[in-house]
Amino acid sequence: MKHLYFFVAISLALASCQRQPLVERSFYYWRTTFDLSQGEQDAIKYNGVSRLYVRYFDIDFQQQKGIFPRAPIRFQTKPDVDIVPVLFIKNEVFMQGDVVDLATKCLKLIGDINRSAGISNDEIQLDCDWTVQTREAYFKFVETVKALSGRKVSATIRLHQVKYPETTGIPKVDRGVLMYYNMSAVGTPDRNSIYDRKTALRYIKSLKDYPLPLDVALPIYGWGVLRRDGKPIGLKRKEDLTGIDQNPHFEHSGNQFLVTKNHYFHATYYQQGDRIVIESVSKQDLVEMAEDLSDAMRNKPGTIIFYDLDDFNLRRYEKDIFGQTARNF
Amino acid sequence: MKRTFLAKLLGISSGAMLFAYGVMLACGGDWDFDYVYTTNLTPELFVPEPDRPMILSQNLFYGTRESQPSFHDQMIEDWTKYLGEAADQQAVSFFLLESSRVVIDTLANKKKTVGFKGKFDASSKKAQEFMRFLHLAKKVESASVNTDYWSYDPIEYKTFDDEKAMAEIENIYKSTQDVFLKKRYWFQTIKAYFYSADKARAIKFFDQTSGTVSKDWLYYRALSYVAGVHYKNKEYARANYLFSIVFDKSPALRRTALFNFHPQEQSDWQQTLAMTKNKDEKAAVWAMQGYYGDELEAIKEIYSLKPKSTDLEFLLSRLVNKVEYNSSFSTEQWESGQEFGIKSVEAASVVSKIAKDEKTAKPHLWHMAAGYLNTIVAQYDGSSFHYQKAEAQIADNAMLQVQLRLFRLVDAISQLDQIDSQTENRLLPELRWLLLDFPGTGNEEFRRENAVRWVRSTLSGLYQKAENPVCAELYVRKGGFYRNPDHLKAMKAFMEKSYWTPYQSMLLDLYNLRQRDIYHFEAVTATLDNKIADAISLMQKAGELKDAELLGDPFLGNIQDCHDCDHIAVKKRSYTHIQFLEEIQKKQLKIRNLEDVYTNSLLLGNAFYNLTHFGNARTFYEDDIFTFWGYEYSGDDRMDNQPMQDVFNCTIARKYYEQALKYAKNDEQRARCHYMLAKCERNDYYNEALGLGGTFWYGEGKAHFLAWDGFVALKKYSKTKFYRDVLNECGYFKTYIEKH
Repeated sequence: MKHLYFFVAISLALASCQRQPLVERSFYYWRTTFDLSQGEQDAIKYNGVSRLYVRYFDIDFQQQKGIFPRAPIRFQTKPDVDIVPVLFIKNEVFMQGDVVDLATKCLKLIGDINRSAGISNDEIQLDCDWTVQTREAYFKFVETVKALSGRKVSATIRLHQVKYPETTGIPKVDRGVLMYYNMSAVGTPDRNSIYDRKTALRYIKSLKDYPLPLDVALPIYGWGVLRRDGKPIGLKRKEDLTGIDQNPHFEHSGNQFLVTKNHYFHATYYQQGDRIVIESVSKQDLVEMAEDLSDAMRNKPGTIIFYDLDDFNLRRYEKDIFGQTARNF
Repeated sequence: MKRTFLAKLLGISSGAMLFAYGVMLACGGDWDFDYVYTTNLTPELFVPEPDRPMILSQNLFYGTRESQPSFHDQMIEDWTKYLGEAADQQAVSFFLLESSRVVIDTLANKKKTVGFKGKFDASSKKAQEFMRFLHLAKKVESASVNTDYWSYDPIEYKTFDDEKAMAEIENIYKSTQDVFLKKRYWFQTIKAYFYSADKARAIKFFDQTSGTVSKDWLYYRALSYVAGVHYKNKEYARANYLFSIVFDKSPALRRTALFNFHPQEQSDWQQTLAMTKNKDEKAAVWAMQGYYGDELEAIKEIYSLKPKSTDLEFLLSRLVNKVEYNSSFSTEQWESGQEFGIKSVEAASVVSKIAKDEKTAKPHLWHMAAGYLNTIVAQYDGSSFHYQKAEAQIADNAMLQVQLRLFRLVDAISQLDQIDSQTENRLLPELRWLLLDFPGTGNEEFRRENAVRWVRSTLSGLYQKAENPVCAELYVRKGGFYRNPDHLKAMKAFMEKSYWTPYQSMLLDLYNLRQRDIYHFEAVTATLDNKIADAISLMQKAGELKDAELLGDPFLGNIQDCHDCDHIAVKKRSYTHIQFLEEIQKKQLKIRNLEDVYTNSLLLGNAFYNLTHFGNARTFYEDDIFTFWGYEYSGDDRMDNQPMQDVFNCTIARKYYEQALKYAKNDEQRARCHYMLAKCERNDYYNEALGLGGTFWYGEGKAHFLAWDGFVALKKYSKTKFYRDVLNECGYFKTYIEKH
């Protein structure tokens, strides 16, 4: 009997050691110049981040220019963590041209950026909200990037792609990243466009059947929706809102700022009666997302990637929020 | 019709996700509106040609999406004139805009090996000067223009550091006696300094020399570079002030200057205002501010400074468009019942006052605008007054007269809260004019779409209120109107009258349906209710519609549903709508007389199956009424959702197949009946499972390989040939058999 107790105790101890495979934490870096502030470097260290997902460039299409890269990143400092290049590709791109040529050009540009920054990488991430019309071209692009680069390829996956995989298809990538934000149209009354649990829950039931291994991207960004005469007319980024609470021509109440006088503020002309509605994600939201996803997903995600690494976003949370969120998976 | 662009916004946000806000901000201010089809004003009538890009638009600039700067034409014109006999415009354009440095250098060395279209005499002295100039200018351009989009440059901003070339350019400027060339080298000196590391040299050189050059468009382009240096140095107030001068003085650079005008903070804006030296300059600054900010405020300021300023005209057109967009006069709003806001009242009052003063360059435009703004804010004495004033002043402008006539009609209708025959007669000529007889104006941009929709919708609403559904329907068709027997009867009575008043004639001209369409619709409805005698007598009255030929054999019953295959298959006989009904009637009679009940029941089962969405006879009911609104469930109660319920329903087919089964004489026949019944079951199941409504047909769904009663029964006839045919042709059945 004694032996049995001992055996049980040992088993429990072992089980509890194994119970928590680590969910890695990481961030997206989405500015066009790579230069980490002290606060951003601290966040990387504190969260034990070993790889960063860095937007290298966007790929866009214009009649005159054809397919072209927009705002390739410039590294002002050399990162001391692994870097995964992320390419954001507009869906329209896959309605034009030759995807093999595009893949070749993208890899060359990634190579040029890497060389100039003195870095290398073993994974590339592709971000495109493909549609039924573009899925064939996009999937071929994904496969070409994988074949030509010899690197791992991951791709972002939207909620609707999880829900309707028969229609939208599943790209042949090593991993997917479930993007758990941008849930409704900006300006929908009474709804946070970044995160809306009701909307999210309608989609995540399908996660159990989704065949790709998934990481998860969670939002820590916020923005302001500028409304005039009740209609949304623009989005204001964090930089546009710096110091708004000290501006006497804005009246602050709840998550809204009402313009009380026509004036210029950070390069925007605000008119009396305009409203900026702030949308963001609270600490409770993040924990709730982790709990809901953890229930819905077949396997634990390998990494939680927070979007995006920026002092402005970091400042709004206590520093242990990222660990706390990850532990809820 | 273009409607609200929130959908577009949705597209952008879900399409961009990670990058969403970057993309949206890049689009600038008005990205979610499309004003073109939502207004009764044709702003082109108010705004002279060069200022049209400043008309309110969802894009940054109206009517212009090309990236080519507006000064290119000017540049080509100047050089063509200078080169005279030595080159034609095509060649000049090629060298200035398209050719590379290599091409220029080749020609500059007189190796005439490059290919281009156009005339060019490389040996002439002027042509050589042109080449020397281009040789240097293209060097400078290497820092300003990059066409190799996929090349990576780790440095964000390129600088021009060819000091030798800079010195050469400045030296030629100093030494040349040719006024034309001197000016161009002067400009290139400033441009080169602008792209050099030491940008302050551009300002210094400009300050030292600008007094000696003429103030043409090239001067203002140079001034734009100077403004750019100030902008780069974050001296926003000065930069904006200089851009306002360019905006005011150089039509070719107006758009570029406006694009670059960006006060950051209120203090920048106040300092810019303080820098202006006279009323003209102050007015120009306000005009730019009005474009980005508040048109009304800008109009008030400019009017007090310079009432004859032509900038007032584009601001006025924008103001009217904006006020209108936020009122029930725009297609965007009338259904939301949104009323005009307080800003609209102020706009109407300010514009009225300016109109009455008659101190602007074009007082008639102000009367027109004041009239319409007063219409919008329901000040009808004001609107009437201003329309009258305008009328007297636009006798020689036919297009403005058309615009005024449209405003007046809108004004008259907006005053109605009910409609009687006197009003009808009063409005008749104007309604006929707008809705039916609108003449080609010779101006494709004339915007009447919004007025047409607004007038029809408003009058339809008034008739609805007056419980006159026929007139309401004649103005705006409504889904389900003919489903209401009273409405149908009333419309038929109206159409069968022996005499219509002129007003009623107009309504009929507006309406696209006639009696035959209504009879056809009734015949279809009776057919789907299996009231074939009624259907035949109604179809007889449907004119030529009764003789329309069906595309497939409607008595065909195949294993697979494929209407396209049935349509191309060789037909033993073809049927018109009326012949189809007569044949159904014959077969029904035979059944009644117990003649070959199995075959006739099976064929009638096929006929009614083909009359569902799953069959080959859709064109029978796809007429201008029954499926006018389509037959997908829309969730919109203004639409007619009934057709969908009707055409997805296999009840009658099923009844005939059951009857055939009852009278079947052998296993082959029984197997066939069971399979046909299984098809009906399958359709019913998926109608239900995918929901008649909500997510209907969204996604592809999953095949479930369910055990329909028909399949279960069919299994018993595995020895029949029909069973084997089904196994071969129907994958669903085959999978079912394998699974069960």
